[in-house]
Amino acid sequence: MPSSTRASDTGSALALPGAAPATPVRAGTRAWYLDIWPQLIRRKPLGVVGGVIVLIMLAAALGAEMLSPYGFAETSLRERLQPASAAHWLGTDHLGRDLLTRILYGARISLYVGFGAVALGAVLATIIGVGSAYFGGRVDLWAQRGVDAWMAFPGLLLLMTILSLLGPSVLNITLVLGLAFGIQNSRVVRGAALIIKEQTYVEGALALGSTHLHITAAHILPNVLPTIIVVATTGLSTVILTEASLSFLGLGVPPPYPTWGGMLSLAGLDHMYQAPWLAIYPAAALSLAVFGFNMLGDALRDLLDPRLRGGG
Amino acid sequence: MRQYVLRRFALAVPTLFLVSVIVFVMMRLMPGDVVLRMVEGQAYAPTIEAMRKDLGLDRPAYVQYADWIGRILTRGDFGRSYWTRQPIWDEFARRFPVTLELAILTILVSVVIGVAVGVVSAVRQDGAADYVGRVLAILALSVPYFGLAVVVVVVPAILFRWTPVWTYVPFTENPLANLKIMIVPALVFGVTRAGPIMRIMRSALLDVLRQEYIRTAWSKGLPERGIVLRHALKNAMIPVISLIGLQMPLYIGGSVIMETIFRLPGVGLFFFEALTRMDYPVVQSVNLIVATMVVGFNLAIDLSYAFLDPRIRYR
Amino acid sequence: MIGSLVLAACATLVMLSLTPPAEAQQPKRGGTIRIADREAPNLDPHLSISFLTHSWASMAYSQLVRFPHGPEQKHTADFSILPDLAEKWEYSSPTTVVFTLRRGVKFHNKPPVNGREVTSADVKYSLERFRAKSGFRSRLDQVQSIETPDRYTVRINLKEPFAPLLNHLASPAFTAILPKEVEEQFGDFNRPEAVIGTGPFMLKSYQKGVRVVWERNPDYYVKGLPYVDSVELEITPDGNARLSLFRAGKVDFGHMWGYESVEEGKSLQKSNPEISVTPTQIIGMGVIYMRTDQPPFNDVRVRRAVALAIDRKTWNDGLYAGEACIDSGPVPCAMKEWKIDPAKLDPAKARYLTGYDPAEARKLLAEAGHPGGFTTPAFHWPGYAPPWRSIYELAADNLSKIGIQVELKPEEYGKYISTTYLGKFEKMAIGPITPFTEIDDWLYGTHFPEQPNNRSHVADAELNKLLVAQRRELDPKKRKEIIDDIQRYLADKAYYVYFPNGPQYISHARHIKGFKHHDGYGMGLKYMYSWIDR
Repeated sequence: MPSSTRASDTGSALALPGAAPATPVRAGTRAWYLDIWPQLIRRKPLGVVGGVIVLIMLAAALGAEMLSPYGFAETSLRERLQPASAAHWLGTDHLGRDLLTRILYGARISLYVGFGAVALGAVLATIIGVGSAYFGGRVDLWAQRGVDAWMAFPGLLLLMTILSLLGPSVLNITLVLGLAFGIQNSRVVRGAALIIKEQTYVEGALALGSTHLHITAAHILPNVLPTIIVVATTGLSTVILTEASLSFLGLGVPPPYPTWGGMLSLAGLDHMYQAPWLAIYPAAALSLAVFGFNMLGDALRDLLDPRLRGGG
Repeated sequence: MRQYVLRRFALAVPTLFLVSVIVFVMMRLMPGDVVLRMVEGQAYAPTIEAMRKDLGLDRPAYVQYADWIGRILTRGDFGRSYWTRQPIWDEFARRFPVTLELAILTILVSVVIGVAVGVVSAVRQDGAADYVGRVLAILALSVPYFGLAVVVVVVPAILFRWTPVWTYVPFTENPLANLKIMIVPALVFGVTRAGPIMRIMRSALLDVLRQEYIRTAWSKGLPERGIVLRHALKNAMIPVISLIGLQMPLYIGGSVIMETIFRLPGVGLFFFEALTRMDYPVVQSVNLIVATMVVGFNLAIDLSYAFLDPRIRYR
Repeated sequence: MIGSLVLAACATLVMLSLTPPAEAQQPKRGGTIRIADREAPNLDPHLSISFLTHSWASMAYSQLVRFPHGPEQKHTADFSILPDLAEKWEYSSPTTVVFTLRRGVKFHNKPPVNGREVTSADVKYSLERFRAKSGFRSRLDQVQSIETPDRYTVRINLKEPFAPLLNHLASPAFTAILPKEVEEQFGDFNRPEAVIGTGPFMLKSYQKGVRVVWERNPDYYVKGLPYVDSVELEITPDGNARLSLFRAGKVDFGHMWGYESVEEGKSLQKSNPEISVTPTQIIGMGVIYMRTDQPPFNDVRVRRAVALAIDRKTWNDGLYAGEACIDSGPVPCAMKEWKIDPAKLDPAKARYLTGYDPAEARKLLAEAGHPGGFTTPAFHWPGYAPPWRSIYELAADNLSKIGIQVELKPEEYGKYISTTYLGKFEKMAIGPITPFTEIDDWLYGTHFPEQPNNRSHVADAELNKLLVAQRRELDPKKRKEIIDDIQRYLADKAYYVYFPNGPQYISHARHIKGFKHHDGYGMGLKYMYSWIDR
């Protein structure tokens, strides 16, 4: 009875942006992952804008060395806190480092933390969500209570506790954000997996003697994948923003690695009254990236969400 | 129906149990020793052993846990702060209205903006208004709220010798003065949280508008459009409320930063300071209280949802 | 009398520039001073080591003796000893000091004390409570016993001659005199209603997390002081919010001592003519501290290399507009009466205090067996006021130039204060040293084995002899000679590596008059002499 399970999960399936209860993708139709790109360009101009922003960010992260003549840790105290000039297009920071260079390199850490945490989180969400949905019963009950318990904490404070325990580093932050992201979104994945599971052909396969692993891999995972992709794309922006707010509380990626959040909340806020650009430019980069991921994510969701396919 | 309600209540128990265990264990995993800090730094007792005994930290962990939970369950006693020796519940009760008010105002701001933009965006799907509305909403969502908060505090002080920061006054004492202080942080926080509401609103409305009979009604003209909108809005509000329920912990967590910048004496700061001072009972009890509220709130939403939507059956 | 001798030893003014105009004006009475600052974690002066607690306590409590303030002070680090609750005192032997209390001094008129007179029993009670409870109790370890021969006489017997005694008794950080019946009634002095002292101000109201208000003590033993009716402190945890309140004119002070950074001060001078800004060299010290009991920092060559890697001149120009003091340790620059004249140091040794020579540093590292350098963590708390976050990165940057790769390890405050700050860390840490008023704390406290402030784990038998000798020497001139010897001895040991110490730009609304910075920790006496000119 689909309705009975649904009542206990309302919050989850409906709540998170990107929560798209999937309907099964049937064999025979053109692969959706090939199909959506032309559609994106034809029908989703905002999504294209988002995609372009994301591509620019990727280029900045990959090509920072080639794009900038300076090193990200190249200090020059005598040139400290200079406004924009021909030599330093966005000015210099509190140690005289070129701000534009640091923003370019900052894209690298933001993407590393963002993609790392989201990839980890997506795997975790899939394991918890699909496992919980597939096995149901007691496993589901306890897994969901665990998720409930986690979600009932004030998230930032939970992250703070764990990070002060582990100590902040790029890897730890990625792990912790990934963990949080995974647990939070396992609900959405579970919701999608439940619907698939209810389809008769899964039951049929079981009746024909397929193993659990086989059913999961062959039937459930491919159908849950679009949901996971949607969740991941929109989740990237959340993860990047959360990393920034951890920096604000002094638990972000430690210097000298440039991160946007760290540049904004450490040096930036120290010099708000004398050199506001120190905070403004990294904040703008951060906002732009988050904006790009959001726009792209929204467009992908619209295209992957079957309810919206025919409409408009 | 009654059984369903009972079952939902029963499910909250293991959740809260897990919350209490997680927070209890986590505090004890934190690096550093609270006793050492209290004795060497502040000399609350002549020796470390005496202090440990005084705080009951010399007992096995499971005894400490049972003692903490037992007092809460049997006497409603949430314990006392290690450092101030004051009852935790008193301090929490004094501070909670501030956090709650900020959360309510924030939600209000974000719902007003989110719903308005969401409706316009859905009704004018793929039109100019849709694009502009969505771009603005998502742009607002993309701005780090703590950065925005600092800008709002700093820039007017430089340019106009004016600051939105001032002494907190309780609502009950002077509502107008209170709102004057709360409105700026609520706007800052609310604007940055409007994005998800707007998206949910938009997709829920689009869902409704796509249904065949609605399309027909819609095409008939203005009066019907009003009816359709009202009907659709009512339906779309359910996921919006669920979203708010899910985001409750975020309002509490995010309030640490807002409370710090706008100097509001709320729960967030209380919790944050307790965390930095390793005040075990405060962190544990506040976490548990907040978690109970969140679970309760979500429960209420689910139940009201069950009441509202006749299609849902109960086991 | 030791007090006057210390006074004689005091020397030059420490103010950098902008000597305030002679105060010909007659102070006016009335008005309210408004301050924005952080919240003290605790109100009980003996149950906290926070400078915030002690500054708040200095409003309401007095000590036996005190430091000069306002018109009395010769300069900002003038630690000559003036009478407070004790009218006079004398050494009846090198190990016995007899204090005669001022008669008729009354506690604040609040229950359960109700304005009764201060007696020798209160002094004995308070000093013994300090010795039993305070985290700073080791300051009075040398005290053998405290006797009260009569109502107005207190005799302190020492185990051995102890030169720092009077300075410790005068510091608001340590020995506030408290009434006993309050502890009997309330358990401790941590509640607002338990704040009952003899100080110039009385605690009027305290809303946790919001504001604290003190009003003039009408029965203060100095007639006519304080000038202002009340002092209000708006509790503001965030630094940018404090500046916002200050710049918008909603408060007269953006910090209880008027501290603003060099950059902020210069910016205020330009943009806000209604704010008075006075650059002031203050007692302070920032250091790299190392586990000198473990490799690699047990090798003096490695420590010297670290010392030579810091480009102090460039730091000074970049961070402090060239206004910092470069020769900042082991005795802080502002303590002029104790600091040895740099000319008297052997230049070959002095370079480890102030020099910059990365080539030599690399050579030293190679000699010590680290030709390719090494990697070390650097523990720190990122929350200290600017420019500390720049300092951590600069130190790491400078050390990387000689091959020492520094991994910056920011710690959450609770962890930092309970581990690193107490010397419990691996290899290396960076941070400030609490600005104490007594020279003994800067030398004995940071270098004698087992002292909590000996964060570099120094254990040097030859040095120990000197450290003990100086605290036993009651003659300031002779003591100064020993302290010079200590400075000469320490110059090339590089137990700590000192950073340039920048000035603070003491800033407040221009209509506040008579406010003078003093390095003696408190705020009560500073605001006692302040008045409002409107």
